[in-house]
Amino acid sequence: MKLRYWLLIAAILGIGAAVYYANTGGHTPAGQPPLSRFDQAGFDQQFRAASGEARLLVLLSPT
Amino acid sequence: MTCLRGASAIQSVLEQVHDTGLRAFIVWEPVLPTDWAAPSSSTLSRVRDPRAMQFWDRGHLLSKALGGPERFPRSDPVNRIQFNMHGVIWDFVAIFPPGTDRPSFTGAPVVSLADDVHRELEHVAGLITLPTR
Repeated sequence: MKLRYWLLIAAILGIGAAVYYANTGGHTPAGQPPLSRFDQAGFDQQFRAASGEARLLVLLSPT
Repeated sequence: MTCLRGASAIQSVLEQVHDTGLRAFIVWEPVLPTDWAAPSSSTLSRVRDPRAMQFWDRGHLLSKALGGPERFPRSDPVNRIQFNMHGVIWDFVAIFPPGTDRPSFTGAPVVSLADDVHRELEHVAGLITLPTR
C-alpha cells in the first residue's frame, strides 16, 4: 500500500515536470527577450511596432 | 532536422547583415511527432542574434492567421515553396520590407533559401553586409 502511494506521488510529480518542461522551453541567448508563448495580439503588436524596419519572419519545428 | 539546419542558416544570414534596422521573429511550432515540448535552450541558441525574438506557438495560431499553406501555393512563382506543408505553415521564411505588411519574399524550406534570403534582405532594406569569407 505504501509503495503504491509513493509510486502515485512519483507519477504525479513526473507528469507535472513533463507538463512544465513541455510548456516552458529553454532560455534564449543573451541579448534576446525570453521565449514567449505565442499570442496573436501580442505578436501583432510587436510586429507592427517594428514596421519601420525590415522584418524577417521564420516558422520552424524545434526538432 | 531541416528546420534546425534552417535556424542555423538564418543565424548565418543575420551574421552577414549588421544593420540594426532589422528584426527577426522566430516562431517555433510543433509539427513532427517529436515536437511535444517547447524548444530547448540548445535549439533556441541556433538563432543567437540579438535582433531576434523567439516564440513558442503550440496551437499553430500564426500559421492559421497567415491563412495556412493554401495561402502560399507551390504553383505561385512569387512563393518559393518547395514542398507540401500539409496543414501547417512550417520551415518557412517571409521577408517584410519596412512600412508594409505584405511580404516581398516567401519560401520553404528555409535551409535551401539562405542565399535568397540574404539577397532579398539587401534588396528591401539596402542593408550593409560584411564580406563573406
